[in-house]
Amino acid sequence: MTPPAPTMTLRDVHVAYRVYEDRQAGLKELVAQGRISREHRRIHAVKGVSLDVFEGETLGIVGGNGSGKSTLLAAMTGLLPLESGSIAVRSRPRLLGVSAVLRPSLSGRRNIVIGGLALGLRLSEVERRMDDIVEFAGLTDAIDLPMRTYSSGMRARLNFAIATSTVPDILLIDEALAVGDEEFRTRSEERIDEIRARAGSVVLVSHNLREIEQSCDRAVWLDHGVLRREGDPSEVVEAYLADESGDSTAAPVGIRPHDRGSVAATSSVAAPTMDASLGPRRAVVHIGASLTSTVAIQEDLWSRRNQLRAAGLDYPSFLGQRNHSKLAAYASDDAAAMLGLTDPDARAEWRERFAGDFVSSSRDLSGLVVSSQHLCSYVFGDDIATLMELLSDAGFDTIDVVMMVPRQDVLAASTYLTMLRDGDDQPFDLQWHLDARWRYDFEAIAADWESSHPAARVAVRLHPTGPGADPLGVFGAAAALPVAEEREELPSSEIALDPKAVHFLRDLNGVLGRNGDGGDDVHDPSWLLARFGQQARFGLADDDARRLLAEYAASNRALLARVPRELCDPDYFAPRDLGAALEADYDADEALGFAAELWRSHSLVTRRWRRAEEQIATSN
Amino acid sequence: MANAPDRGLTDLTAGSSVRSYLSEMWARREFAVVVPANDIRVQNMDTALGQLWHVVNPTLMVAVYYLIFGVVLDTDRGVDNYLGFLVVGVLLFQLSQRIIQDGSMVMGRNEGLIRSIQFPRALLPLSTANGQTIAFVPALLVLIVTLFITGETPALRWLVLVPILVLQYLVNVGGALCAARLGNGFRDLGQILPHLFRLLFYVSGVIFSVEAFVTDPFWRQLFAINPFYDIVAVARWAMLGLPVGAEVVVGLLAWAAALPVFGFAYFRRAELRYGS
Repeated sequence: MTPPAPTMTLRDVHVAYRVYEDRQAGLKELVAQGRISREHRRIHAVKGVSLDVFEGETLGIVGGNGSGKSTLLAAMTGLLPLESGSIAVRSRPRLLGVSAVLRPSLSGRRNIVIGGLALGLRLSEVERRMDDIVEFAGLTDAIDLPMRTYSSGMRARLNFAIATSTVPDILLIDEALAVGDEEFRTRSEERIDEIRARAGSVVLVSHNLREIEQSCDRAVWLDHGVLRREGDPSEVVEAYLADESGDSTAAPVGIRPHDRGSVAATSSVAAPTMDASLGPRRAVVHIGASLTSTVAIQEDLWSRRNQLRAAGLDYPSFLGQRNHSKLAAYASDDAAAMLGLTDPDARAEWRERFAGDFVSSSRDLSGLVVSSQHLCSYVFGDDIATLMELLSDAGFDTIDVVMMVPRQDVLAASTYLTMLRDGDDQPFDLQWHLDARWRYDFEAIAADWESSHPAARVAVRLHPTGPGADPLGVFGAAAALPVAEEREELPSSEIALDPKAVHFLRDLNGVLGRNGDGGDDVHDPSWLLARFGQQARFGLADDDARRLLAEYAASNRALLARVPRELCDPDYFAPRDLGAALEADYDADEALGFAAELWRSHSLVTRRWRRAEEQIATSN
Repeated sequence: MANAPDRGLTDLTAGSSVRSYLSEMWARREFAVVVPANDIRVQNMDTALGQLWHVVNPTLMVAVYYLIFGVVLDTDRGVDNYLGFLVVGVLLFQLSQRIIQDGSMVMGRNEGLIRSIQFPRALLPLSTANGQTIAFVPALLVLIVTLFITGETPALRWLVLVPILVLQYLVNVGGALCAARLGNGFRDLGQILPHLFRLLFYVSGVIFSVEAFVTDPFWRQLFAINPFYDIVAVARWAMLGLPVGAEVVVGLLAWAAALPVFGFAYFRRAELRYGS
């Protein structure tokens, strides 16, 4: 049997690019010193990658933000010059997606022509495929309307339909295969399978580890520009996860440092180790609706670990570094799936191991604080009982659950947003929202939980929203943690708004929050601007939207003023593509100003957390 | 893993030959016409007059010039049909100015496209030239109507305007290619070019007759070095029958032959640098 032929070979590939310093600073310099220094930073994103991609294969690339995945993919298209090394290909690889060439003011039909031509099709070929593309995108009725009137889902569908209308020999896919509603997702997955069958090779970059495991034949893990591991997708994903959640990076897959047997065996061991002199052992659990799960609270807790320790409470990293995702995965199937644990047997085995690990690792702790994005998003209902059982098994005899809940209008807005995103254009029905008690009646839920376990004390706290809010302060006060009231309050301009307005702001804000840790996936201002163009969808008048953005920008500015200049990282300021966004239908200058403000404050605040974290790491 | 790239694989980053580059451009020629044509459409889509603006705009310009030079100043500056003289000069000069200025910004404006799709980058400045040339067709009609109104009688000579416009197109494409590469490395060019063209406007005889002011043959030959003067002067011969020197015709031919070739070579040398 002949081995499969490579369609692409990478040899010792290095990619570096330059990022110019903030242009504004350059102009100031010009005035002050009479010259512009064109200083730039060199980002060495890919460092010596050698790799073969074979005929008929789907290769997955995993790695954290800023690991160089997207840069490597761009290098594979030949769009980025290599610093050194070589890439040889059977035919020129192509990235899936044509959004950069589409024109918002033109109709869907004209955009299909433009997109098709950009992909290298002839006009006659595009016209022949026109009906198929329109039908596949599900835009038969809207195809002659300007694209700017489309919802984001419709645009994504159009982009996908055009991009997949012609299949290259080597296809590169960066994130988010499935877009739109359930039905379109199914169809697009089918289309991707079809492409895989026809294309010589597919290279897939995704944060969705489940997708990598399900659809790839082989995977590589890229870490800070270096290939860490290559092989079977589930092994690579497991190794990557183990590293991400703070386990020993040196440990090979399959051997864990804390493999200590089953729950049954350890729980009986754990109880007697309780030291009476330490007093009652206490666990504090942060839980709540997913809207309250800001990264900030976990970052804050992490940066105050020393303070917590002094008070006999630990914020441990063995639960998954700053984000206690492992505990969430223990309690909830959905959260486990997010970590790539989908197979029931594998999950049961993992849970057993984790429980043993947890009991033995927490043995010496007099107190424990747990906070996780995943706990907020996934752990609900019966899951909390599972969690309390585990804490109880580990010998924590007081369990303080602080449930942070958002304001009702924020919650209603979020529900409405989800409906809109799913393509439901009905007006929001408040009564329907209120009829589902689990959506808002947190006191009742808390009472249920409290009665479910003798050690549980549950407090429900309103999560402060809006600029200047201090979630950690509220959480700390409710749980009597020694972390509150250290920092001065920001001038608060809590905005009392109708759900539409809140959800418009959240939508803008969410862009920044979702990618809180920066890296190559931070959205550029054009993305924000595109969102700004959609205020009409939220039923907001232009003036109202503008006023909201102004207030929002002002409070960001207040925040910005408190961040030392030297903590900012200039490579976050590099402007990206604004071309497409500027064509949208709004006052571009104004929106640009706001977007720049948002962008800047986000980067600076992120830098601040990073710096604080580093200081603590070095002082430990 | 295998050693050196083999089994029919080609080096991705190796530059393509001029021949294959040009043939790829040719394969994508429809892109360079359809996309700019649509962009031109978009420009006035939200206005009340819509696409009519492409006719109204040059008409208004002619009207303003008529008001100033025909009514207020009432000057002929040594030319019989001064309005016709002016309109030919201004419209043709503006066409070149628009294309070259737009060319200086085209790479920056299409950064997203450059970063996501592989295609010969020279298609972008070429598209700019095509778009503005398409938008020039209504202005050309205004020009001819103006000549009628100002008393010119159609002559077979008028047909020569077609090859002149072809030569001008070649100069414009060459200029756009150069401006695109320069503007990619030096974004400030977009601010400088309007002033440069303002200067060229005055030394290209757009609003005055060089022949009437410059009589020394040496200085006339020096003017012929300016391609925009060549274009305007030859077009005025075709449309208005004004005398034109041989050196001007030679100058136009030389520019139309040399600038696109130089521009293409100059632009392509930075092919991999665009978008980064």
